[in-house]
Amino acid sequence: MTSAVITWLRFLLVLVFAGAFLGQLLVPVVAREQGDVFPEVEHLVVPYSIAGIAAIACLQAGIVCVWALLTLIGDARIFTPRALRWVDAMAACGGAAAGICALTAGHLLMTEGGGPGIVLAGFAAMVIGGTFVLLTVAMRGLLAAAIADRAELAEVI
Amino acid sequence: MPIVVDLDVMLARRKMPVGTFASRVGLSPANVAVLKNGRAKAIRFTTLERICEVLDCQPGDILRWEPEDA
Repeated sequence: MTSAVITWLRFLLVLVFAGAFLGQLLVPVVAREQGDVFPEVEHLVVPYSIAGIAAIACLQAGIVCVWALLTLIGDARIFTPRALRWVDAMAACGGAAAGICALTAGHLLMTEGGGPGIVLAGFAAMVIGGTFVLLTVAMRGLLAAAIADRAELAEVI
Repeated sequence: MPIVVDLDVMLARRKMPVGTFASRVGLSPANVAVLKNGRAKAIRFTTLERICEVLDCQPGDILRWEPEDA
């Protein structure tokens, strides 16, 4: 892995992180506007704002995990058990974000109804989140196998 | 480990210091110590080849199988 790739990826991750932060600032504004347009869901503005901010926070935590993994790659320590913990954390962040989105969509459907758009959004969160988590778990298996191979090879003289 | 590395014997026979042996074979002193102490778990054929070359011997002169004590 070239250092140029890592540097550019870090640069883009900073942009994504900043964009996510901007999104966190916008969530309550958009929720307040919706509350003004539809007064019947006014009581949901605060809890759904919190859910939105929390979901984006999960994304940001995932970015931090990727950052840590990039540091390990740069130090040529990616094939150590420490890397697995960051991968675990990354999968957990993805799962948590998807869970928050799906639960919020489910809650809205149960209490207020919301039409096909909300159903689709809930399913999309579950499918995309599930795909991300399972893909990460699969790649974690590859990393674990590579770590075991590396450890075995290190004992060959 | 039932496979014994008789490096000490061969080094003594050739009257070769460990440091000289390590540098001529291209091994780190730490790895030579691992070989001598019998803690080695695997050895590359290329390493074995260089050891045989430097010590002018056969693999059988260095490696020996000992039945494990029951």
